[in-house]
Amino acid sequence: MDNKVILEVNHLRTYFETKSGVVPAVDDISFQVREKEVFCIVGESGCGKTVTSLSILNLIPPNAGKIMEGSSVKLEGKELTNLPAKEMYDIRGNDISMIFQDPMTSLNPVLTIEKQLTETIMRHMRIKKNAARARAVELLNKVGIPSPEMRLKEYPHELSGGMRQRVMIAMALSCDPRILIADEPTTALDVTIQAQILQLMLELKDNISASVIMITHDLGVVADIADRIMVMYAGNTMEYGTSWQLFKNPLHPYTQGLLASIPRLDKRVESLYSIKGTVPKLSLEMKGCKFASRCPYADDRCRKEIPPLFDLRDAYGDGHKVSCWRMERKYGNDVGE
Amino acid sequence: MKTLRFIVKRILLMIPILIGVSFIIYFLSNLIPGSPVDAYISETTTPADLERLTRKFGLDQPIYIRYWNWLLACLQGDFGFSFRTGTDVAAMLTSRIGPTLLLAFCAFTVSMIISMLLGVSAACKPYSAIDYISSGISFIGSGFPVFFLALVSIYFFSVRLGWLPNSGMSASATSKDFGDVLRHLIQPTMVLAISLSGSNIRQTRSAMLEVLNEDYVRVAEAKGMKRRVIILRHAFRNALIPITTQAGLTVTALIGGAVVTEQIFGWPGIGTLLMTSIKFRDYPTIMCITLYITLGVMMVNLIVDVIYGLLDPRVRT
Repeated sequence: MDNKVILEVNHLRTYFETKSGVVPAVDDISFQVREKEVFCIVGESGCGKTVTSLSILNLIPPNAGKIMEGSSVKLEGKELTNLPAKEMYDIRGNDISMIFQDPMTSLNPVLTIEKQLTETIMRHMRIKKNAARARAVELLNKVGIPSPEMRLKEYPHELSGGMRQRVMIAMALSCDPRILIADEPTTALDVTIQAQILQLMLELKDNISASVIMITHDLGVVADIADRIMVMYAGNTMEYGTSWQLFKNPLHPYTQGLLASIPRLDKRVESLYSIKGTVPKLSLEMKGCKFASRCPYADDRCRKEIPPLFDLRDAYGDGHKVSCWRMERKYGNDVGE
Repeated sequence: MKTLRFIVKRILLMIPILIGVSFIIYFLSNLIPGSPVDAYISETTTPADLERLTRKFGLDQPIYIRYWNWLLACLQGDFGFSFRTGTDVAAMLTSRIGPTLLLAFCAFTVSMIISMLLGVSAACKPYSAIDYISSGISFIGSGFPVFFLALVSIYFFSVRLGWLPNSGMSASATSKDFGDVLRHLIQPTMVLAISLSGSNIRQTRSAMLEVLNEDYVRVAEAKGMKRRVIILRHAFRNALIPITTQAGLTVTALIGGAVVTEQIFGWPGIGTLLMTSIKFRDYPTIMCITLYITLGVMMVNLIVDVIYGLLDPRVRT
């Protein structure tokens, strides 16, 4: 399981300037993605998942937000945050590609599927139009689109949502990326199509050489697919570990709350569980643990000091990191169930 | 094939619209106080003369009969004679359409070039120097009335510098020298173009800004497309749809002649003719010009709709 590290994100901070002050959308996030693994970032809306993925691609709109000094994103040892724009163009879509949330708005309505697929292929692989076309057909086949030759000539509005997301996936895979970022690829689709797309992702996962960063708020998706998981809340990492560690031995109150919130068919309950309160408005003045305002165990210290990421070892191995003061006394010890 | 059927259908639909418009305008212009006969009154006219003129113009008949006769004549291609000059209205109009369309075409082209260049570059770099320059020009265009711009232009280029003629379409009525016409054309074209650019620049800028915020532009960025390709292939092609709407509105405003500009620069176009005809209650000329404008507007709308189809595959099906 310990493959070579491909992507290394260290102390990533992405702040946005707004009228009501600086918003630390992503505040000191570190993680590693290894070769061929599926890394999941989980969290509710507005916790900084999408900003994290856009930061990796250095695609934060320049007049809105900024990746701060001291942040580092390394692709196979190459620093990306300060890479010249021209070199970054060659990495986007080639080494790192991305699938976006809403396939209905992600395809350009005035260009044919062929144009949108082949322009990427021709751009990065430097091959002729005919070869690019052949590759496009092959890709559409791979993502399960029937009669791809015909589909190529069509415009996005002639395709259903599920088909469009398949095209988006084909587009993201077109240049054999090292890393594929999937930003909630199933959220905008209806449930049956969600299952199909997820199934496709699971199938592809074994057939492609890329590592996948899967961003989602759906723990059901995570359980199916993830090797390693990072739970984010309000721009911070709450818990980080392997799939087993997080599902079998959740240590952070937020992760525990998330897992308890999954509706279950096998138990009769009066009402569904939910974490009380709402996500706090982010600002630089916030002190202490970001989750303190909603945490049932929070004490004075939690509200004043930010807990570090305690690196723990449990029955499922080491590298289980938890950002919670309650872990302090267990630090360095086994924290098995 | 589908497009052809669409065009034929639209052209056929123009016939009832034209008749409807002619009906409304005929009755409305009849409501303007005064009669065309008034223009002939001098110290020596007698009531008998007026009576004779009224009968000659057919004004003694009730309005619905006059309208019916006019309509029948029109359908046979006879638009009547001007009450004011006594010449054939159709011939008079034809001689005016050329100058108006020439001015309209030049002003439209210049305005679209200005607004696309400035609007697109302003949208690509919001709050930069180019953005402020383009807002400045658009404020001048929409803030100052066209007559003021025209007078300022005449003051500098004709009076002070003496570079350009200030009136007419050519130095003498008989000369047909192209360079001479061009020299006369520059001032009205520029004044009209800047005035039109006022809103066109803003429209282009906001259309472009909106498109640049679309998800598919983000996707194109994530695919590693170059900035130039993103702006031209992905963003601009989509922004062309609202820009076409705006361009269509601009052309329809110009087709009936830019009344104020034509007046100030003594441009022998339709705007000037329409003004004079209304002053003299010259019903046949008013009717003919109105029908021409109606037809022109409908043709422009048809062309705009066809262009939509070319630009946007969603409209095509």
